[in-house]
Amino acid sequence: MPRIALENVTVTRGGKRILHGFSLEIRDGEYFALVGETGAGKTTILNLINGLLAPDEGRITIAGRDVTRSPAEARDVGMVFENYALFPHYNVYKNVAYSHRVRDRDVTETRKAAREILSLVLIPNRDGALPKELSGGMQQRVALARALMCESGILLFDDPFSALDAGLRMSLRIELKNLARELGTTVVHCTNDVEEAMMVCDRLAVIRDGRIAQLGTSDEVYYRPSDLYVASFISDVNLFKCSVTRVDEEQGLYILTHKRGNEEETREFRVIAQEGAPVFNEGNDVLLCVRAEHFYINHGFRKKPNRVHGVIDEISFLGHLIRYEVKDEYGKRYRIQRFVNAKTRYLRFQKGETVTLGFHYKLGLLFACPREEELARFENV
Amino acid sequence: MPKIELLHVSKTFDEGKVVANDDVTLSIEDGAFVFLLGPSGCGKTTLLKLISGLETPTSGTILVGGIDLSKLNPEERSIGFVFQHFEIFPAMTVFENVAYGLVVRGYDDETIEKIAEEALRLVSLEGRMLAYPKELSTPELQKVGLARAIATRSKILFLDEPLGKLDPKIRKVFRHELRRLIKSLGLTAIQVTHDQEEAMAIGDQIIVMRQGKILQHGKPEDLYYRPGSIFVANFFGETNFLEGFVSGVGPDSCVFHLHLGGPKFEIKLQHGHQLKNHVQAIIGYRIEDVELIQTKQEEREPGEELDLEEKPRLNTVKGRVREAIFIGPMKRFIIDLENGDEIQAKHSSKFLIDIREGDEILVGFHENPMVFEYPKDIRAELSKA
Repeated sequence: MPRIALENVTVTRGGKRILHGFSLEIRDGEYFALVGETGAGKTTILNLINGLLAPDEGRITIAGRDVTRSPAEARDVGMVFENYALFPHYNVYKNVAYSHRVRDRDVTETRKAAREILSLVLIPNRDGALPKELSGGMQQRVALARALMCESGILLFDDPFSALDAGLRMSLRIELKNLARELGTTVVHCTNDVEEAMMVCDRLAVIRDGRIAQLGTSDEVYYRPSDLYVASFISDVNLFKCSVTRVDEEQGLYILTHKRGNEEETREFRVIAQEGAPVFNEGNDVLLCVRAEHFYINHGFRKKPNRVHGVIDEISFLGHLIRYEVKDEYGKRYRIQRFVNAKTRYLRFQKGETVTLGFHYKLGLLFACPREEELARFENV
Repeated sequence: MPKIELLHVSKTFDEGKVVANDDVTLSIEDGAFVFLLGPSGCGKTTLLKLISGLETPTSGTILVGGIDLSKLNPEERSIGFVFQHFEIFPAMTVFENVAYGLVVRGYDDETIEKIAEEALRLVSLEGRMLAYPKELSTPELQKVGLARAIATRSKILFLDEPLGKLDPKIRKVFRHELRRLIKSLGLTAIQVTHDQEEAMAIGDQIIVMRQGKILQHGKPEDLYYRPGSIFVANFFGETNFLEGFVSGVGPDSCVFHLHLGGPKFEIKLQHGHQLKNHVQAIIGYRIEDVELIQTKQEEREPGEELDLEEKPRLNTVKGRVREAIFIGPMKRFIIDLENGDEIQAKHSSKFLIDIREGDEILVGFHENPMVFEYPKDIRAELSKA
């Protein structure tokens, strides 16, 4: 039995359909991430689970029990917000004990539970402090402690780290994941940051316009994105409009032709489709998608196909990553992301340098060529 | 013209009880795009207020374009501001929002129209001049804020989390547009952000502040590869810090002992280093520099790793993979070393595909770590909250 289930849920607000026939099942003890752009409907999903919002249609169950019409207090689901949402005039202890106090729980019991949880989230001896006297990271820990006091064993996170510094964000993610696992808590974590989602989750769903674009493990979603939207949401992509010239069914090999600039010159690409990928035939129009991190620069590929030449136009240094933008003679731009460490640190390319880009034939993704309107969302296809 | 110089600038509040800026000396070149970073309360906001003339320093001198700021009248020290909360007037069109500051200054209609249209064209909003804020997307609103700052025609721009409201995906594209715009107008810009990656990606220089002082000021790569302190090493990128002590300290090398009787590393030291022999020390490795070596010689997928001719020698310690987390292009590992330390490693997921949770491995540490003297308060240096 799923811990949380949304069945065919529809939510309309101000004439706008936010969720449409939306269904989702979250397993017991799972760390589940909802990832999508602002406005995709992630927060609405959380509010349906915690009871702040009732659906127009559909059913919500928690541990098999229908809670569609039950109020937030009855569900007692813990919630952590981006802006912490602590009671500013309550000290740390009162904030954390809040849910027990409103339920008139035994004072000694409450004190004991709060102590335990505060030590678990590493807030020693600050019971009397007001939120404003604490750093952002500490405030978020208090918010987490308060949420952990809820008795349902379900925690919802609405973009909990976006206000924090990078270093803190990183260490809190790992801490949070371990804590949830230790306590057996079921977590639903919303974020617009794919890296964050992949780092914490057991499974994730990519949400687009109130629908699930794809659901799976990080691995599945990354290696087998269900469509162009998902592929471009989780990575920087380079796109090539191609037609299939030949299919070698035995090897699963596609030979593709991409028309360049003046439409007369062509370039050949070879791609082996991933398991479970859509099948194409000779003459089909397809879109070849190569992720920024899968382009090599000046790497000695012996075989001719899957190579492009261009000039480095822009470089941005990101510490363990370097991003290059390469422009070819037709003005098409390519984004390349290279992983940098002590071994490859000195292998750098300069602005204006002519380079050859290449990708491995197993790392190209093929999608049916979308309609022009869809394609227009992407630059320089 | 607008080179910004601060000479021994201090600012205290409450009769000296609160020191916001403590003897800050700093020079920002004309046309530089500089990022100001530091934990909250480090003094960066006060510093910006001092440069913009909103606050007066308790002591020290601020020069803008070589002229003492206190001798400039408010008109001459004009600075454009862009905030995260863009404070756009909802009842005014995009054009009116941008023109507002010019109207207040008493420009004639023709000039206002020219400047406002020019500013909107620069941010590619010329087609949205008659739209109202509620019709705009978040990135478009952000651009209105930017156009308004440009329209002041100030040569100096202060930006406080100007991309803070954008989704990460859009933010990564928009930050380059922002840089191109600032560069094409030849502005001297100072940006405050808590996004270290953004600062590294588009900043010419980065200033890290802490407790009212400037800790380090340099190019992004200088800060990343040559952090002057544990704090800066910890603030940019992710680092494993190993505690131990050093022996055999020579002019360019020493032996680092990972705890008493623990594994020994042979490491190199920078010439002119100040490290004493037989003292406690801390060495730091970026998590992407930690190598993981499979000890079981099972069949591996053909390596796609680049073969560099000169492989640096490695110090190795036995370890066990506690967690292997797949993050798309990256794979992150949490490893327990045999001496009890926990470290992290991060690698491109194109490599090392066969290292899994529970694997016994060798962990390789190269011979050029960051080396620091043991600080008085290690917890304060490594504090992230």
